[in-house]
Amino acid sequence: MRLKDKYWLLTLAIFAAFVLTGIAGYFVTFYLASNNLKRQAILNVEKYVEVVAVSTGSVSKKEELKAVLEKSPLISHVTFSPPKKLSSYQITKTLIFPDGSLNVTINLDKDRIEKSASSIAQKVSLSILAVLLFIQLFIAIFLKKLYLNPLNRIRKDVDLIQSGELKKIPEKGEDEFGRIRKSINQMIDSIKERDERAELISNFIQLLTVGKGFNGEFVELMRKALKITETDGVLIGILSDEELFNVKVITPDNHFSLKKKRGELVGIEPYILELNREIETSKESLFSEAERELGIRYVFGMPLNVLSQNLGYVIFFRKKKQPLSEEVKDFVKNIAKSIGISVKIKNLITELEDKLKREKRFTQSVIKSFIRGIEVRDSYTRGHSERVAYYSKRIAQELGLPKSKISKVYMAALLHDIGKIGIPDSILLKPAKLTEEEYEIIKIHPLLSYEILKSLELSEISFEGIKYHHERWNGSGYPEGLKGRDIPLEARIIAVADTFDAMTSDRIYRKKMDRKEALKEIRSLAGKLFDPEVVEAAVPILLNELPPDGEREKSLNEEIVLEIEKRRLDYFLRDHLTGAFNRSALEYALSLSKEKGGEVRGFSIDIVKLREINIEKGWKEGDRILQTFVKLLKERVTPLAIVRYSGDNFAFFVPADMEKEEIKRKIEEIEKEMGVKLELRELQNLEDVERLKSELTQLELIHPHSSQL
Amino acid sequence: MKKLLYFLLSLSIFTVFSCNQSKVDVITSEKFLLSPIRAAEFFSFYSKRGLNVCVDAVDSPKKLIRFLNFSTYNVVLTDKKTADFITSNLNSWVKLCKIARWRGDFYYLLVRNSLLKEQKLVIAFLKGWNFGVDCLKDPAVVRVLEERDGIFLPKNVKFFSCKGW
Repeated sequence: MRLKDKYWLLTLAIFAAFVLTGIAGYFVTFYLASNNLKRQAILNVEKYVEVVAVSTGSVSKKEELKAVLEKSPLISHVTFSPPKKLSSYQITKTLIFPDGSLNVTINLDKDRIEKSASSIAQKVSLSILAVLLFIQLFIAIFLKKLYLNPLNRIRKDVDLIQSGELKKIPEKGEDEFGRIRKSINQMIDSIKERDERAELISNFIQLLTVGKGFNGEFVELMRKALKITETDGVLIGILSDEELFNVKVITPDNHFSLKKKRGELVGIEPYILELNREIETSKESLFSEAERELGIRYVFGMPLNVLSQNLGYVIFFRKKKQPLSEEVKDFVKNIAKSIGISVKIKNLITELEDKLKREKRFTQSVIKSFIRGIEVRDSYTRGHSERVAYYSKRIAQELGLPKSKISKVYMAALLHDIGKIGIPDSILLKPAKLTEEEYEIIKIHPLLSYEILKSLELSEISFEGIKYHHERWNGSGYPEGLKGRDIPLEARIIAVADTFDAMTSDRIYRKKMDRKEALKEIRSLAGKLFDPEVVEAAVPILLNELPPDGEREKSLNEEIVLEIEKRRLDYFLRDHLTGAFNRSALEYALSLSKEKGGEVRGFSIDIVKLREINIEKGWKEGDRILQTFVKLLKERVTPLAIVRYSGDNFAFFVPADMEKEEIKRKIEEIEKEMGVKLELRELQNLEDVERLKSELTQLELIHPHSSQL
Repeated sequence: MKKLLYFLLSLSIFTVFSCNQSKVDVITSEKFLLSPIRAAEFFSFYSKRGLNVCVDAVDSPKKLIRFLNFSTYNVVLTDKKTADFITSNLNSWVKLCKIARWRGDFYYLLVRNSLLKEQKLVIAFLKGWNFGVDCLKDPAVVRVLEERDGIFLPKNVKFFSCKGW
């Protein structure tokens, strides 16, 4: 029950009006009747007096007159003198007779008159009230039956509609309530029809925007639209590229698709495209033969224009010439708009998806190019980033990290060494152990990686993983010396994968370790350098899984890379004049020799008085002597490696089984052939590179003449 | 039954209150004095003007005087002597005009003061009188009155239009 409803107000007002009318009716009637009866009584007395006077007929009979008058129940007494003051219950009258006139004052019985009047008035009032109540009751029943009840029923029906139950209400009678009910039902029909239309359009949009296109669901929806619009079919042409239209023909019992070139369109279709506006026509001359065969007699079509771009056309047709109503036309236009917008959205989504894919590919290729960049610089780390990325990803998966985090770890691992771009080649490519100062420079590469990448705003990368991948569990790492769980998990994962791959990869100054051996060492370092949990998760992966080759081979030409590596190695490790290893490559040369020949013996050899030759005959001659010397040494002695240790000092290594005498003989042959003096000494400290370096330095210092002369 | 009576009484009260018709009650001691009024009535002079004229005739001036105690009468047609008696004893009556002469006696029209307050009513009534007087000049009218109403005009009676006395 809604107290705000006018129905209740009306009911209450009617009830109140009836009660008030009854009460007012009673009192007003009582008042009027009472007064009237009093007046009537007085008038009656007057008439009585007149009658008595006429019948008496003489002044002389005034006592008789008095007696007769006083017999009246309404008269208390009669006098023949005028009253001092006339009250409302006194009548004074001058009577005329043939023998003169007579003044009479009649005093009325006030109590009797009032009592009598009041009694009758009460009865009259009650009668009036009863009649009034009867009439009111009749009116109330009348009002209730004719107005309030139908109003209440409509009110309840409207309440039901308001509560969401949109169903028709019963139609009764032809009166205004019947008409209201009819109107409400018409409104419900209209709302339902509109809902149906809106739902249909919404379904169109939904269907087309999810990219399902003109499938079976679309055909069913379009058939509903045909039913609502009372049309016999629809032609939908969507421009797939500049010249090709995908044409869909849908009728209530058939549908088929065609592909038509723009030039092949005939009839109403090219007409609409040409005019580029709505067309409504039943001119048969505008229809093609095929359209006439379809039975088309009337069309309402429009181009699909969205944002000033034509995407095709939609044509609804009828097999009779009866035109569509304006309302149906609006509906059809909305369908066409929804198709147009949906096609546009679909096109935009497709374009966007393509663009995103291209951008993703571009980003990946940029990232890979970064990796290739560092790998090309440091050939010994080729494939390292991808392997570390693979191991890191697998460890992250084993640890049960969410997909997004795994992806970030993978990307961070791929790019973790990108900062090495900023490390000088002399350090990065140094074919020997680094000095403390050099190592300090190497330590900045995680920060460099972080600084290079952070500006790229790549949300798919764990920057912390990159920045802290050289931090160690016990705080001995760099750049910040973080400890334990203060080190981000991504960095702890990459640290294990990075170390394992470094250990199991060749380096210029050492051979790779066996996987099991490397893993053993890593396990021994768990809780010291590495997170034990990460190590535990990594063990089965590092032991059993090999990273796929990936796309490295596809993107890099192996021969070119090898050539580049060779040339760069030569540039850094070899003496450009003679082609022998330079001083920096001593360790590498010794290692290489040992690798080739197992046990080796080493010799130093000086070209005596080379400086004098340079002064006397020029640098060119000196250079030629040096080149010829190395060439002859290679040919005659065939050493495992030759190192130009200083200007005229060389060291070379031969297999241990080569006799010293034989070597001496061959050197003498070279002396003779070149016409220079050579000093040969066997080296003693081949087991320790540092000591070997000292020995060579000492030899250089002992025979300064040899280098200076 | 009682209830029905109360209902009818209430209804009559309502009717009395709602109904207010103009009425002139005339009394005379000489029946022929009513002739002009009857003649005017014959031509529906009063009914056309919504005027209800009731006439009574008594057979002597004494009776007339006695009947004047009925307040219902507001017009009297009588001889000079009676008229003077009335006006001298009752100041509620006014001698308005001379209306006839017969056998050397003059007859007058008296009006109750209360009627004089209703000027239009008095004028209409007097116009009717004057119209009746004119009508009586037509012997056909006189004959009709005699045959229909039984009013016989005495010989040598002369009616006057009411123009004062």
